[in-house]
Amino acid sequence: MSSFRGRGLGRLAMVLSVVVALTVVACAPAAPNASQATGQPKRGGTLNWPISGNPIVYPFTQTATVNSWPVMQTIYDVLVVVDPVSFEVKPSLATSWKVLEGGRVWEFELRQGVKWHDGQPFTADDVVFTLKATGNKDYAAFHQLYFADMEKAEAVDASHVRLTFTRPRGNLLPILAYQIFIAPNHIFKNLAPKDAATESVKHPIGTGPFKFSENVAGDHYTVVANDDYFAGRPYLDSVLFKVIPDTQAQIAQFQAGTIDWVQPTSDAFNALKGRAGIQTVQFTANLLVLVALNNALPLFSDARVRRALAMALDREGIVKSVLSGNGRAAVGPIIPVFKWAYPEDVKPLAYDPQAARRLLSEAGWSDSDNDGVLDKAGTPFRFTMVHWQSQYRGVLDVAQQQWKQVGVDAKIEILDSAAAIGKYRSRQYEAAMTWWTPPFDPDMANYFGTKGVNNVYNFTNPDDELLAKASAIVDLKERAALYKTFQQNMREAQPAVFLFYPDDLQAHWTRVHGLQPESGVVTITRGFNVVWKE
Amino acid sequence: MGRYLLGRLGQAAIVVALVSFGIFMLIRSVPGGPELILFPEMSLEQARAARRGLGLEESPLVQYARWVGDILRGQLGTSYIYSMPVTELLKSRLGATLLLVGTSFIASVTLSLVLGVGAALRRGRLLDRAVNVVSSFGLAAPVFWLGMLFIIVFAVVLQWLPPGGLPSSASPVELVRHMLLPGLVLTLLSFAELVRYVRSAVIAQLEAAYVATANAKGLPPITVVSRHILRNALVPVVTVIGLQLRALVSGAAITETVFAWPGMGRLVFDAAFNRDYPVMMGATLVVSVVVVALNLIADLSYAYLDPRIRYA
Repeated sequence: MSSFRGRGLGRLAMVLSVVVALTVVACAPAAPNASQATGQPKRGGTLNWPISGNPIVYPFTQTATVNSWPVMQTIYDVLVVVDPVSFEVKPSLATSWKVLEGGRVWEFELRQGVKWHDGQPFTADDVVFTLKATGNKDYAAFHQLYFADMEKAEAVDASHVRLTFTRPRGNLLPILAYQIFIAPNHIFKNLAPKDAATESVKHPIGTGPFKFSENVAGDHYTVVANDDYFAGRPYLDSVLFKVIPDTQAQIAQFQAGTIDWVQPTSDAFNALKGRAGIQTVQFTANLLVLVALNNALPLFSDARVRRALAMALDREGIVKSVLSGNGRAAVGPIIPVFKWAYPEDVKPLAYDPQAARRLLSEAGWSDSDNDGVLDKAGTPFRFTMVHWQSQYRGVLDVAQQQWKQVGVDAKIEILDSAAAIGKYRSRQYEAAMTWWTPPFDPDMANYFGTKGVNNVYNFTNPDDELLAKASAIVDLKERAALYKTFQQNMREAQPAVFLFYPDDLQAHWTRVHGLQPESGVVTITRGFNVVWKE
Repeated sequence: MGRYLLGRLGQAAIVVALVSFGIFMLIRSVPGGPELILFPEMSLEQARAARRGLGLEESPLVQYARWVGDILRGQLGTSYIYSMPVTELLKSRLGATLLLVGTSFIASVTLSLVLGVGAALRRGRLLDRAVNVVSSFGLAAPVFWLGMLFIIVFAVVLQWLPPGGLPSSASPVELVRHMLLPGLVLTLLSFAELVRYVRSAVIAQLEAAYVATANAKGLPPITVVSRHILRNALVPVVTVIGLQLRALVSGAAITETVFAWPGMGRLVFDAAFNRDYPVMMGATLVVSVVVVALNLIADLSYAYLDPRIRYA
């Protein structure tokens, strides 16, 4: 009977396959049909676009917006759009507007000749219904908070709408541009709010450049060109949104050429750069990654302590190591993508562990028992940071090590995303690493205002009046001056440790033309009516 | 046999009820309710009101009783995430999973039997070693990594096969092409363990006295193996086959995610992360019924394989 020496062979097989895998990744060729040709747009074809989960195509959805909004932007329209580069507000379903009573009343003139996908005419009643429903708690709309102060929405006539608010609303236009999808009154008026979502998803009706065609739940969602679109029939015949939950699987499918665009990880992005037939795009994302601190706890109630935690972190180093250089250290909640509001002359807090130790000492923390951890009145400086298994997981390890050097003991608790978000949203946390994307406007009242419903930091903001004033002003220069003051104050107050603004990394095959990547990964699909494929 | 069958069906019902109760209580005890996932932009008060609207503020026992009542009326509820009836969702996904898991199961059992017997009869020789290498690889390699490796090699570099998802056309050829890679992963997963059991079971029978007798009587080797050795070796192997099916179902969740295959495994995976309770419970019910039924079939097959086993 021979001996069983399979184990050695098994190990050899494993090593060989790893070597093979690394080699083939490095040698992956460009997909076929990668084209360098430009010229006149060509009509026809299907754009294959990845989404990471099933979309809920319902104008008022709050759920899975990162999957739903890219699809909805092809089916529905908004009243106005914001140019992603200049931030200029441009007409869409509304062709012009008037600002009255200092921003308390807004009047919109609507585009003529627009039809819903079922052939019904688009009218002022659709806009009135949409905005009333958005402000109505029963619809649980994503932007309900922004329309809670709308006193009246009325159809002056079939093509004019008047909105009246309890206070001036200088930031109304960017909010309207940000996924306030105009819904068909003739369909929704017959549905109770609790049934609206279930009925709407079966066959969504919009005015957008594409119409609903097919939904194979969990596999793909197909929309086809709207021949009657007001801005002209799209070049593409259809868009197929493929549900690919895993990022690595998306990258692999992109390399295989079965999808036309991808949002790769930092490492994959660097590997794709310069490959023939692939266009990579990189710019600062509309995203802020931060470590939220529960300011209601005695540990974090002192601004000096919060500032010290920020100064003890080498955020530039974190961007270089964890993000492979694809990002920049954060200053405060006003994000660089708002070029008109982001004050470039307000710099991030410097990495200065010595200064951090001084601040902590001033706040009464010292290592009285020489165990390497600061303490105060017998309480050690120890807390738990919650997070989930995300692409930024590595940041926590770096933060833990750097805080340890100044005597702060931070424990890491990795939960599944729902549990982590649950703790964070219900304020049952000490610290939590998270990120968020503001709408097209830097109004922070809901997030950092003292009474903001999303003020999960329990932060008492001395700038509440400033924020209210800024959101009421229409003139961007005046608003920008106020936001500069706000950013400076937030940099000092650090209700959360503002870590970094990551870069938006995108890649697409050059056979696809007309994409506007600067719109951001959620809004890029809004411009699909001008996209074409070789 | 009839009494045995009735008894087993009664046991199966109790098992399914216990499993559903246990899962129901367990998922409600996990932190992070669906209202915070469904309504991220609501105030806490509104989220709590939404939770009440979903019936989640009542005691878990009351919620479970209501769920059982709905089941008896043939209703599994509406998915929080998909806004679709759960029955419709499960129907749309069950076929994809049955196709993938079923095909992989048949392939892995067939290959395990053929190659396991071959390896046992040719111990220490090339076939035995090759089976061991492949089996070791399949046992050691994580499912996720294996899936990505296959995608990179066969879809990205060689471009022989599609990297995932369902085919856009109804062509059977395209369906097979789309199934090959995820099917290969699942087959390897199951084969890696099963082939070792088959090999060991056959080796154990080779030493038995009846085999020496059969050989001494001059029976052809193929007859000794197929008519005598295999039937005895299969009795313990059938138990493992039943366990393999459960492993395939859970392995399918990861495989379906890597290959974007819209099956039940992925549905439950997403439902768990998003606290989509109706889908989790509906899928649990379906899977537990299927697994209990298959185990019953496995138990009944013992009587066929071994005439000494009789059920009263």
